[in-house]
Amino acid sequence: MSTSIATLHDVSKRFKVFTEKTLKERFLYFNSAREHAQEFWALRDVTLEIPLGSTLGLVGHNGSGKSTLLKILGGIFQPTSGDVLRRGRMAALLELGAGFHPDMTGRENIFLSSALVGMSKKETQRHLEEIIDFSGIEQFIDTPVKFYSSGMYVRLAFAASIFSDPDLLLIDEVLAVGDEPFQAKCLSKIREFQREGRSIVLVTHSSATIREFCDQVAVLDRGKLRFAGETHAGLDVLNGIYAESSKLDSRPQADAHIRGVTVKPSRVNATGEVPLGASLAVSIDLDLREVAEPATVEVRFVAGSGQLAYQLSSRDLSLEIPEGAQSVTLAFDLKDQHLGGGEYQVGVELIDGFQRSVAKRNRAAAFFVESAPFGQGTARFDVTGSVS
Amino acid sequence: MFEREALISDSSVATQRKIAIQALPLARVSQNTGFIFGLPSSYAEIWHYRDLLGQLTRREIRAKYKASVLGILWSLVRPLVQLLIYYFAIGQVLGAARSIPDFAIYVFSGLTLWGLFVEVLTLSPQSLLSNGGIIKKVYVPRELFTLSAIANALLNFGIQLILLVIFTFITGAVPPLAEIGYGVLGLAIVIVLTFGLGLLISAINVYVRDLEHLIGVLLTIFFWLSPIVYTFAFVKTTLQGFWLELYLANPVTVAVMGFQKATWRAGSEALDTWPDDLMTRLIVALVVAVVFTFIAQRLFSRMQRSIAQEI
Repeated sequence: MSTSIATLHDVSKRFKVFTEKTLKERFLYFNSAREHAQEFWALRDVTLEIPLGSTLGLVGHNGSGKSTLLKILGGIFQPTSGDVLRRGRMAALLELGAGFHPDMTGRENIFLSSALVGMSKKETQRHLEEIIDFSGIEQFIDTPVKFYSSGMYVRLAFAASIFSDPDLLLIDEVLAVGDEPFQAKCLSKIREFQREGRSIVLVTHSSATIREFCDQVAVLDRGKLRFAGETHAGLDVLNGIYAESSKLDSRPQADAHIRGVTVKPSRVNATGEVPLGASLAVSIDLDLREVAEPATVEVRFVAGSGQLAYQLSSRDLSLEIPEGAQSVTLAFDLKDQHLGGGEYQVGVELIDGFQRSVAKRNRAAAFFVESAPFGQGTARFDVTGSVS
Repeated sequence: MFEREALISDSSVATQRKIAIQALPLARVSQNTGFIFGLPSSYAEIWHYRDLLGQLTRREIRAKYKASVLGILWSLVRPLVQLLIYYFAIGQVLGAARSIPDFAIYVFSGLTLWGLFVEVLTLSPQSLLSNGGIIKKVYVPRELFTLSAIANALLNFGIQLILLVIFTFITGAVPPLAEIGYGVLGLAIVIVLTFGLGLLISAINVYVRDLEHLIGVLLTIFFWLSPIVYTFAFVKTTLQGFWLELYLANPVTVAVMGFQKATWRAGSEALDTWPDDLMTRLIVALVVAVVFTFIAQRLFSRMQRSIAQEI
């Protein structure tokens, strides 16, 4: 007897995109119908096992097939070939508030929403107090949801779908909803699910979320499964793929001016993360032909959450790029880093003498900083505490 | 960190869940589209989601009458206006009322059942498309959207039926209870038939959207092919043999007549208004409708597999 809650065997999914829809067009283009149908493979021979009670993170680029895989698992899409097997009760949180009707009250929408995840009216009634309590919008529960703020809307939607007692929960990037206290509530609900032995498959772009919640990672790259297994190794594979594609980004025709960007930490720990206090050497190769002088360069560190952690301009350091230079290498040595844990993308922008942005690369390089034992955010401190 | 440890510690809830799940077989995630063997599972699944049907129906009704003062009473306006037009234009001006006793009740009876048929078929081209938001994000048996269109139409039908019964009481033409079987059979035929047709229309319209335009035209034609504003007695005098049988082969025609027989007292008194062996024809029509709908549902089961990506 296997110990998985779901298995995918050689699953492939092909999409066909037809452009014409009316009878007239079908008739006119009958002979060339094949040319009008574009097809592409969203998934190719994916074999994956989701162990019982595990939390699997599904990661990859945009368009790598993560959501398609999730929808196939949820029964929304049928695979073109291959087998998908599943057992137990499943709930899919692919979009918050799917099926909500704006003219119905919050309470009525709770019933609709929980019926969509397969709950009976009785079950919903039993959990109604809990759901309303969890959403934290008791006062407005009998108001049509069209009058809700977007925050209230997603809170209600999340609460309405999470109480369905699933054995397998599918989540598609919907964890980052509501304000911070509500997010904390959602995350602690997920933890509770984990303790109760429920299995979770979650699609996310945030390495931090993966690190925090998942014990398994599956990495998809252009429809193919590149890795499935333990979290750290999986994130390494993912970073490899990201690095590959940033190399592709630097093809000369994309932006001729920023030739290459590298980040070298002075030391890394066992898992390849930059420890506290290490220094970062950022080196930027530039081609300055046909750029109005004097040019300046900006470097940005962007955290996994998309938040700007640090920005530095060559002008801040009064770095003068010599006049008439065609090929230049700028080097910054950032000492004694105190960044918060997680992934950082290095962005580089070249600005010419007329203050115009000449070239820009948002994901020119990336590095990982080890997580702090306490505290959150893009900065890190050594902290001592006392109570008096 | 504390949380992680709690995770590892084998709480009994988790163990119990694990044992319970391991006892379940791994099942294929897709509708069994086998023509015969997939049948029970299809209907079991629909039954499982029956509470959702109620919710979807409520939502549709809410959407239709939002912010209108009269609300659901509007559903009566259309049939009543139709009744007035046919009553005066065909009944009084063209003189049909002279040969058809209680003409108003007769017309309203026919319009009530025909209205049910029309409403479901008018809603069905959009029933999948307009629920794309749900279909693309959650798996539910897609037959539910057609069923909720039927439930919606049945609500209007119910209101009209009550009105019809009140009319019969006011005019003193209360139909005899003995004929009620005809009405029930007629209604059953329409419900079963519209379920099958609605499924096919909703699925095909996802791929070829011309269907919704075609439906309107066909419904106009078929309105005149059923005895709603004229009686079968007129038909009998104009059509013979094969053509008469062809006219009667339309299950909706038979259903409408059954319904009229049950609700229009004047008709049950005058025997020659109905074709011979109407009861047999009703039963045959129902059997045909049931078989058709079974086949339609199996076809739908196949078509619905790729619907989420086509909408």
